[in-house]
Amino acid sequence: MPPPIPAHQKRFTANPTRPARYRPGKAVPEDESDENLEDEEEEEVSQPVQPQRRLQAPPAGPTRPQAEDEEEEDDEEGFVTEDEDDADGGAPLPKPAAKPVAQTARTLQPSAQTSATPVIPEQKQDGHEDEDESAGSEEEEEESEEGSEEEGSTSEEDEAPQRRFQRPTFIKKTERKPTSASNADVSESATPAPEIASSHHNEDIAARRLREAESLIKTTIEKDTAARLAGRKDWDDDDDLPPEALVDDTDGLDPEAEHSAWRLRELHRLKRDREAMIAREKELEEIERRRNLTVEEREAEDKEYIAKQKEEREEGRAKSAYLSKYHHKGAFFMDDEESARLAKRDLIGAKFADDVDKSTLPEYMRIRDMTKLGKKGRTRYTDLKGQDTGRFGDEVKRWRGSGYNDRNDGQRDDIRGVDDRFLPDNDRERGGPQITFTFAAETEKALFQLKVSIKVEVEVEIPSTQV
Amino acid sequence: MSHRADASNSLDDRGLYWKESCFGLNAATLLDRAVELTYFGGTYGVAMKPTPFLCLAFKLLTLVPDQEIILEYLNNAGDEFKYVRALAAFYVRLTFDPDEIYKTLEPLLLDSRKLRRRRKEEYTLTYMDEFVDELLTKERACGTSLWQLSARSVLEDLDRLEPRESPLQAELDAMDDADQEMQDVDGRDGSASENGRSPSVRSRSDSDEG
Repeated sequence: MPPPIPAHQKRFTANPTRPARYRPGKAVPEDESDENLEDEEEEEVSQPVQPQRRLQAPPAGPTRPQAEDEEEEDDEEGFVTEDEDDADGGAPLPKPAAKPVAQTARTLQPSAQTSATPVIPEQKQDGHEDEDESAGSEEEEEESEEGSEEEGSTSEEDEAPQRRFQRPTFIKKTERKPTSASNADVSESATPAPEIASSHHNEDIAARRLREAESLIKTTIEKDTAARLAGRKDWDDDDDLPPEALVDDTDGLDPEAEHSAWRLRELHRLKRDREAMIAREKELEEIERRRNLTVEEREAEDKEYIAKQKEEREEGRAKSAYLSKYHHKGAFFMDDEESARLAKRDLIGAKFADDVDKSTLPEYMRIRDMTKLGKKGRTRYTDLKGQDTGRFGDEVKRWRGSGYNDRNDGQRDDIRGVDDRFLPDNDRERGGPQITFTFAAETEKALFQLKVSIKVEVEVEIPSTQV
Repeated sequence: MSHRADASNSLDDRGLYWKESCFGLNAATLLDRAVELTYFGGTYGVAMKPTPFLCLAFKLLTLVPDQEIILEYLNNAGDEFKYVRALAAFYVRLTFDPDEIYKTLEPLLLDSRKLRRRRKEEYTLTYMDEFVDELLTKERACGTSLWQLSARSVLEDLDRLEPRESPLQAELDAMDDADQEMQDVDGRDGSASENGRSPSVRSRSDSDEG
């Protein structure tokens, strides 16, 4: 078992404990330290007081409320928290107190009843006091409200001011005066002159401080304005912006040069105006002219214009090789020299040194991007022609004299990518297949004509029979 | 019209100049302030702070002084203080009628004094006539979008204005003539006309009409 802790130290915090609430019928908790401290002192001082107090015992309860109202005002007057007055044998005016935290009926006393029944209260008091002297701190103070000399009952409380709640202690009215009176006496005893002097002194000090503050403010303001006038920037201007002086705007440094510069500018302006005017007039003329043309002529002109535009766009563009990659130079981040050089480059026709002509490769390998060779999911829907299973436009191609054939320098289709078996069979000169079969040509109405021509060279050896 | 910082509701954006110097100005005191200007411009810096020029212009717009006062600023005060003239020219461009704008600002094209312009990050040198030209032809100046001014040709067609006569017009014509003659000599023009007249004559008459 740990050593027993003193009762009042049951809290381990430094906060002062609140005085316990009064509950009628319940024993008022003892405060041992208070007891110890106060009892010693109080007993000394209050010895003479006690008999007086007993005389004016607290009355019965019911009268209390009425009394309270009157008393409260008075009470507040008389309450002091410090030890101000000495024992005073003033006429014991009943000044009951309602203030203290623990209000007990026995302690209150109406102003009317001064010494109503000393006996009963006495008994009560005795009883109470017998019970606990410790309550003395409370009781005694309450009783002292009755008006008896205050004494240093508050002094005990003052001993530990930081820790304990300083209960306001009531001082009888008559006893109050001596305090103020004593102060007055003190002051009067000392000469009034120093007082006045001191007050003057205070005034001086205050006034001086004010003046100093004002002067400080004034100097700072003056400094600011001076700085600003001197040309420094405002506080909210950026420091790293260049000062104005970089650009000089003084006139008259070289009048002739300035004048000629002005003339140059003026002439430019005039020229600009004039050209704008000419352009405007040309436009009007053009509009007039077109209005006078017929519709067909207009369309013809439009077509020409579009064709010209197309040509301009396409002329720099080389024809790309079969299934070659198109390398775009990139839209961003080009340095000057580099970009100038690269802009002139012929990219579309660019070929790698060992580039293979893809038309010689088997169909499976004819891919634009060789890295995708062999990967799954490759579809070769490059153009519709490859998907076209019909013979759309076949007739047209075959007609003699149609512009279709002659357009692409005689070449009808793009034979580069077509498998051997599907190449046109009429072009023997161009290296078409050398085998052609021709069936009986009489049946022209045959729906299906298969022309196969075979050129066979046969060497026949005929043995000679005779010599 | 958009002075972004000036039109903003927060007065903080207008900066110290506005708060300090532009309070309670009238036309006369504004002139005092305008005389102290050393540069013109719209807004500058990252935070788009308005220049004192712009603050004063805005103040003029709120004050709405009389036309005569503005013409005073422009001509008499402007003779001595070029930034006052620039300020008045800006105000004229913003508030006067098109005819009056042309009539008032075109004489300023003869003024060739240097002006300091404050841009977003630096100061640049320009000239009064260039500034006025910008006011007459461009759509934005000094951080403000200018309301659309009808072209001079339109007004000339409506007979409200006469074609502008520049003092250099004569010189320009002389130059043009010289060019034309050179063309004749070289035969660059190439087109020979039937009646033997040189093409230069025809083109010159064209330019005269225009």
